[in-house]
Amino acid sequence: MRDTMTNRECENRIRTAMTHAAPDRLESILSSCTEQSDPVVDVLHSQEERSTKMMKKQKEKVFIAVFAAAAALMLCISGFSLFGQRGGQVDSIILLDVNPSISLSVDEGEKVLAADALNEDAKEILGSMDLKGTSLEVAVNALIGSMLQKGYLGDLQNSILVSVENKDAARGEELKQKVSAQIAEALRTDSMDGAVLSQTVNAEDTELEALAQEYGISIGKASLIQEVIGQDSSLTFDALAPMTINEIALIASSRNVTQGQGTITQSGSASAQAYIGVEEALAKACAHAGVSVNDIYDREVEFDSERGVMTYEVDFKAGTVEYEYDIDAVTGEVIRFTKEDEGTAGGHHDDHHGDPGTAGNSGSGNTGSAGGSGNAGSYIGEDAAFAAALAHAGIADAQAVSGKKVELDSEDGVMVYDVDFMAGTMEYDYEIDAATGAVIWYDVENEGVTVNSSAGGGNTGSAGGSGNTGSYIGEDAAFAAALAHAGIADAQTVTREKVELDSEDGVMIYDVDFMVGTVEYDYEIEAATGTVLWYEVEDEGASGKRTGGNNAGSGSGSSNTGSAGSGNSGNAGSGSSAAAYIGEDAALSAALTHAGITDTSSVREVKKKLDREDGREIYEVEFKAGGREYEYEIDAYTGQILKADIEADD
Amino acid sequence: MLFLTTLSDSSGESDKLENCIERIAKGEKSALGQLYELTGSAVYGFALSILKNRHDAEDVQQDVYLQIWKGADRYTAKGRPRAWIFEITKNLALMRMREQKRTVPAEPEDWQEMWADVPAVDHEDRIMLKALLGSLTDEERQIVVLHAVSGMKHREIAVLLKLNLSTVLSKYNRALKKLREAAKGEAQ
Repeated sequence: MRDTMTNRECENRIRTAMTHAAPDRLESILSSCTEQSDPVVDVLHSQEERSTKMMKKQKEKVFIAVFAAAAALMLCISGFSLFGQRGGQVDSIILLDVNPSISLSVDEGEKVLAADALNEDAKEILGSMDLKGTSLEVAVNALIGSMLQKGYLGDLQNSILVSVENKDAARGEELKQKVSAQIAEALRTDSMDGAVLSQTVNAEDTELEALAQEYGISIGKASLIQEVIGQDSSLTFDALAPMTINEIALIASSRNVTQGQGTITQSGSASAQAYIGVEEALAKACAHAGVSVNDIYDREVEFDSERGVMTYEVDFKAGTVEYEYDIDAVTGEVIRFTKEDEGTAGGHHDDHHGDPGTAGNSGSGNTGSAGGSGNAGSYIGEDAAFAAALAHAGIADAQAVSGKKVELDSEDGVMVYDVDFMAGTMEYDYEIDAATGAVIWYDVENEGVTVNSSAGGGNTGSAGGSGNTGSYIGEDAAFAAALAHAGIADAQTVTREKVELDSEDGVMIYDVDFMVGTVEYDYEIEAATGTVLWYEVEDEGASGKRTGGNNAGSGSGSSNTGSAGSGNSGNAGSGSSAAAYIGEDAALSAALTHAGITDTSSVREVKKKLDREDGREIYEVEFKAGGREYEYEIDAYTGQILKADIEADD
Repeated sequence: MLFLTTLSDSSGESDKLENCIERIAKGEKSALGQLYELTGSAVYGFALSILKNRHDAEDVQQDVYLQIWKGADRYTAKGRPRAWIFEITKNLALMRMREQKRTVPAEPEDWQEMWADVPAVDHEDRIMLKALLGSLTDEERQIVVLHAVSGMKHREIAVLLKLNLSTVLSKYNRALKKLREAAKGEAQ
C-alpha cells in the first residue's frame, strides 16, 4: 500500500492536468485588446464601464467656445509675437495637472518658450499643437479647451492644479492668481463648475524633484501630495500618486485637508458625481456587516484610494464592535473590511509555529468576555460565535483559552465567524455560521509537541550538538527532534533513511525520513528552531500491528475487542498503554455520536483504520452523511475525539 | 500551450514576468502573448479552483489578460508580478461568483466529463482534476494550485489568501495527502 506518488510527482501531475485543461484563448485576447490603457481604467477592479461611462458623458459635451477661440488665436499668433523679443530666458514654469500633466516654460514677458508633456495623457492633449511662441494666456486656453474636449475635464472630473515656479515669490504668486483666475473663467464659460487648486512651488526643492522623478509625476502634483499627506498621515504618497487631481482633491477635502492651509488655494469644489455618495457607501457597509444604519455610532466616511481606485473608507461602531470598510466608490462593492470586537480586547494572536521558547504566553490579552454581545442585525456576533466554538470544543472555562481571534469572514458567499484559539497545547480553528451559530467546519490540532533543541524549551533532552551548520540545529538534532515527536525512545529500533537539509519555500528545513518496523515516518523539521512543521506516519504493514506507545513497548495487536462504548469523555492520554483498543466499531460509533447522527442508514462510504499519530494509537474514521464528509481521529484507547474535520461533501 | 507554465521559483522568472508587464504597458502585444504562455494555465487553474466551473474559469482567464493589457501601466508591485496577476485573478473570479450566484459548481459526476471535448486532457489528467475539485476544500485547492501550477511560494500564497503561513503549510500538506489518496482510489 505504498503511496504511488511523492509530493513532487503529485505537483507535477497537477501542473500537467491544468496545462492540458487550460484553454488557449490568446488569439481572442489579442484581438480584443485594441486600445491600450485608459488613465481612468482601474487595474484591479475591472470597471471598464467606470471609465467609459466617465469619458462618454464628458465627450458628449461640446466645448466649442473655448476651444475654437483658442484655436483662432493661435492661428493669429503664429505669424508674429505680441510681446516682442524680450529675454528668451525661462523666467517661470507653469505646471498644469489634471491627469494630463503639462509644463509650460515662459519668459519674463509670459511668452511660451516650451510646452512639454509630462505623461502619456498630456501627449494626447498637446497633440500637434505648437504652443511655442504663443502667450501664456493663449496656451492655457488652448490646453484647457483640449482637456475639455478630450474628456479629461468635465462634470465628473472637474479639478485642475496650477503650480507656478518662479524665483521671485511675489511674481510667482501673481502669475498663480492670474492663471487660476483665467482657468476658472474658461471653465465657467463652459458652464462647468470647476475646482482650481493653485500653489507656488520652490524650484530649488530637491526633495520634491526626487519624489516627482520617482513617481513620474510633475513637481506640482508631488507638492500637492506632500502637502496632503503632511496633514493626514494615514495617506501615503504611493496611494495618491496614481490618482487624478480631482481624486486627490476629493480625498483631501473629505479629510479636511487643504482648507485654510496657506500653501494651496482652492476655488470651487472637486466633483464627486462619479461616486455613489457617502450615504450609499455607509448603507453598503452596514448591509454587508448585517447591522442597521440606525444602530451604528461614531460613524466616519472619507474618501480614500486603494491601488488606484477611489474608495470610501467607512468606519463605524455597532454594539462593542468596530467596523472598518473600504467600499469601491464607483460600484459600491466591498473591497475590504475589518471588524474588531472591543468587548474582547486584544485579539492577541500568536503564531504557534514560532519559537516555542518565547511564543509561550507572552500576552494572552483577552480580558474576559465583557461587553454586550456586540450583536447587531442578522449575525450572532463575535461573542456568541466564540461561545459556540467553546461549547463545541467542550471547554467550560474561557479563561483557559489563549490566542483568541474571531473574525467575520465570507466562505463561499456564506458569512462565517472564523474563530481561532488555543487551549493548552491544542489549537482550535472553527468556522461558525454567522447567521445561525452552527459549527460549519472545525479543525483541532495538537501543537504541543513542538521541539526546540536550541535554548529553552528543552523538550528533547538529547538533541544538541554535532554537525551544526551555522544557525541550524544540525542533522542529528533534527533527527532527534523527529524521534522525540514520534515518541520513540530507543533509536536502535529505528532505520534512519534520510536526513536532508532542504528549503521549503525559503524556510530551511530538515527532511527526516525513517522507519520503525513497518511504520514509515516522514518529518519536516524547521532547521533553525527544530520545530516540527509537518509530519506523516504511515504503516506499511498490515493494518493493526503497531509498535508500542510510550514506555511499555509491545503493541498488543489490533484485536479489536468490541465493547461499543462511545466513551466520549475522559481526557485521554495518560499512558493507559497495554489496554485493548476500543475497536473500529466503537470508534465509528463515537464518531457518529459526535456528529449527531442517529440514523445510520444515511451513512455512506465508511472507512475505518487503526493508525498512529503523535506517538498515540488512533482510529481514523471517515464517512459521508447528509451532504457532509466527516473525518475523525479517535483515541484508540479511550474513544476520545482527537480531531474532527467536517466539510460539505461537494 | 505546450512548452510552458512551469513557473519555477527562480527570481529570474519574476524578472521575466515583470519585463513582460513593462512591455505590455508600452503596448507590445507580443509581450502579452508571452505572459499568457508563461502564466495562462496557472491563472486558469486558480480561477477554476475558485469557481469550480470550467467555462467560468475560461472566461475569467480571458478577462484577466484583458485587464493586464489595460492596467499594465499601473503595475506597481515591484518584484512581485505573480502576486499582482493572481490578485487580479482572484478579484475577477470573486466578482464573477458574486455576479452569478446562479452559477452552481458542476456536480461531481460531471467533473471527469467536464473536459471530455478537450483532447489534451488525458485519463490521468481527468483523475487529477476530479480529485482536485472533488476531494479538497476550496482553500486547500487554491493553495495547491497556486503552489503547484504557478510556483508561488507558500509565503506569497499566505498573503494573497490572507492566511497564516503555518495554515498554508499545513493545509498544503494535508491537501496533497488527500489528493494522493483520491487519485490512488480513482486509479484502482
